[in-house]
Formats: sequence, structure tokens, C-alpha cells
Amino acid sequence: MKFKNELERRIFEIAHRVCGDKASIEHNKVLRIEIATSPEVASFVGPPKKEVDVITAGFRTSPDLKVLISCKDYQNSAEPADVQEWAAVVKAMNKYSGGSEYLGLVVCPSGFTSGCEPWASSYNLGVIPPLKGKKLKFAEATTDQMFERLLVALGRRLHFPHQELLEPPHFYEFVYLLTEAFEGRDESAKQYGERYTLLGTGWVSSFSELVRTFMGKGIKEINVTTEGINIRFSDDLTFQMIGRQIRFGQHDGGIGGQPIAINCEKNFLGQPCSIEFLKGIVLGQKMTSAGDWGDRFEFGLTDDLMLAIEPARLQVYRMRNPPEQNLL
Amino acid sequence: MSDRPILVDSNHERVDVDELIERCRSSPNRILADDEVGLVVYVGDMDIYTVTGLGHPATGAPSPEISGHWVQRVNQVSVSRFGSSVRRQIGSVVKTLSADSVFIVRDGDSLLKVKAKDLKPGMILRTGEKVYW
Repeated sequence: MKFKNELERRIFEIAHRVCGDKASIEHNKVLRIEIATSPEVASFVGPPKKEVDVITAGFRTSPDLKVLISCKDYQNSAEPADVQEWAAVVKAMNKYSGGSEYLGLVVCPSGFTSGCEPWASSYNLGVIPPLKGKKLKFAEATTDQMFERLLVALGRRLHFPHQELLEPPHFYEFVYLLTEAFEGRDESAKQYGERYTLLGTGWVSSFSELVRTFMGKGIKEINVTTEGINIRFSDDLTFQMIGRQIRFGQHDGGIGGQPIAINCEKNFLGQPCSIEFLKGIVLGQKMTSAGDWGDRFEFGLTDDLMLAIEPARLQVYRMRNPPEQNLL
Repeated sequence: MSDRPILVDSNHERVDVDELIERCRSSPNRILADDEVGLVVYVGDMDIYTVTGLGHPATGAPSPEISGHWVQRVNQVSVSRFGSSVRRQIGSVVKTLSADSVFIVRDGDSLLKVKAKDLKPGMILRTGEKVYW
């Protein structure tokens, strides 16, 4: 099978992976447009005949519904004319389809100019990557992930009544819904690197997700091994600090390694204490806040306590005024 | 919708998002996506609505919308793992909003779309409510 460019190859391979033999590709497919003077075809070079390259994705659950995909392998962002052109193609295909219904999708990893949004929404075309007004360009790998996520989700969505998807701007919004969150993921990866990952899946995570996960959960146990620091919380949740990396989520069997001692300190000025003393203070307390200082992570706890965790040190102190009368 | 959406049923009773997602999991095809980006579930036939205006989601207090409709049926619920939220006072109500919630703001004779995180004190929404902070 021949492809006109690398983007087309990747998109087709994803469509084939998701839709199997319901995915196809056609080059120089000829469309005849009946009303060549309508605004929808104003951008065509040679109406009333138009040649297009199209990837088609179909679904076993709804054989009469297909997605027509246009790949734009551009150096710069796609223009409204690209969206208008594909809208005319989809409209023509629907008009002469003989029973099949078509949805349109334009994939352009270099993004879309902001002027494309009103055209895409009014013509009910999905666009990947989404137009969010801030980040308009995404890495090729992210664009591929968006496309695959959309196709998988659409395949499942078609198990339910879906006539509304054919009405503007529902399919446009459906595509947006499935793809808009990638910006946050990429920004989080850029901001935190691999600082936060989820146990079990290894997915990139963030400080905000960590806070949502542990807020209100009580500390059950603290273990320190040659691998790192492992803190068990209620609801079978675990927080692990391994060097600079923080892993958290549902308990997955522990951190491994051999038990070792760790420097423990109490109060703000860091007076030495035993880990048993520290455990006696914090076990059973619930998380109320958190802070990440890069080389030090802090859990705010009930009873005005603060538990600071560093790769080679634990510290506990009470945040109650006046400090000198609330020493541990 | 993104982040943690505010959902109600047709009786304006608050719907717990986590409970709703658990209900959806019993029918795997409802889980449209569940991955490192977040979760998207289909709820089009489950009597789920989202608050589109600024009225109270549980009590059904009057809507600021001229049409009087401040809830809208939801087909898909998205819970992003990376969405951020902001606190804003709009009119008399202080709300937690997903940072990329879109508001329609008056700008002279025209209207602008502004994300929640970009709302500025003094802006007037299409509904006539003022952004205080």
C-alpha cells in the first residue's frame, strides 16, 4: 500500500488498528459537485470535479456510519479553506451516499488557525488537534494519540443512539471533548517531567492529582528501605518517594528493598528524633494540604502537623502559634 | 466539560460524579475512554444534566439566563486528570470552575469567549452578571 506522506501512513495504520478491515484509503478519489457555485465549494480549484485523498474509518456496530478523514501534512497551520473544502467533500458524500452517513475529520499536526473554529463547528467537522485558543500545535505522537482515542471512543459511542452526532456542532464537540485534555497532560509532563507517576500504570501525573488523591486520607504506616520511602494511607493508597521521583496510587505490593534507617527530625529547627517518635505523632493523622519544594515534599496533617519528606530525611513539626509553646 | 463537572438530575438533585462513573462501569461500552488523559463516559440516557448558568445546582434557584434554562442534558461526561480549577465570584456566587470553562462576556456591542482562568474583575457576562474576582 502506498502513502503520500508519513502522516497519512500513521493515520491509516491507527484507523486499521482500531477499525480493522472497515478502514480504507483512497487516493485521487473523484467527487462530482452538483452545485459548484455554492459557498461550500468556493475554495475548490476545479469545480465541479474534485480529486481528494481520503481515509475512511467504519465501525462494525454501525456499518452505515463512516468517518472521512483528511490528512494535512503542512509546515504551517491549516487555514479555514482546508476546513471548508473538507466540509464540501463530506456534504457531497452524504448527498450521494445511498444510505450511508458520513462524518468529517481533518487531522493537521501543525494545528489550525483560530479562524477554522467557526467553520468546523458550523459544518460539524472534527479537527485534530483541537482548537483551544492557547496551544494550537502538538507533537506528532500526541496527535496520533488523540486520533486513536477518538476512534476507539466513537466505536463505543455508536453502541448508543447517535443521530445527534450528525447534527452541528455535536461531532465537532465530541472530537473536542475527546482531545482537549491532552494539552493538560503535555503541560504537566513539561512542568513536572517524571516527578509524578501513577503506581500500576506508570502514567504521568501531577501535583494536583496527588492532592486530590490523598486529601482527607489518613497515614497508616511509614517504611523506609534501600529503594526509598513508602507511606501507606487509608483506602489502600500508597505514596512513595524514590530519589526525586514520587509514585502514588493504589497499593501495588510495596516498594521493595531492604529496611534501612533514615534521619528523622522534629520541630522546625530539626532536632533529631527516632522514627518511632515520628510515627507516634503522624500515624492516624489525615492529610489536609500538601506542598512540593522540589527536593522536599510536605504533607499538611490534622492537629496542625506537617510531615516533610526528603529522599534521606523525614521531619515532623507542629504549625501552631506560638511555635515555642508547641514544640514536639 | 472537564475537570470535575457539576451534575444534577432532572429533579435538580446533585449527582455524585464518582458514583455515576461506577454505575457506568457496569456497562463497559459507556466507558468511551479511560486512560492517562482522563475518563469519558456516555450518560445520554441516564437523566444527567449540567449546570450551564450560575444558578444553584441543588436548589434550582432562579437562573440568570433569560430563557430560564440553566441546566442542559449531558451526553458525555469527561473527567480530565490534568484539568485545573479556579475560584471566581460571579454575581453573588463564588464558584469552583474548571480553568477552561468558557464564558460569554460583553465587549461593547460584541461578545467575547473567555476562559474561566482569564476572567477579570469588572467583566460583565452576557447574562448581565459581573465578575468580582
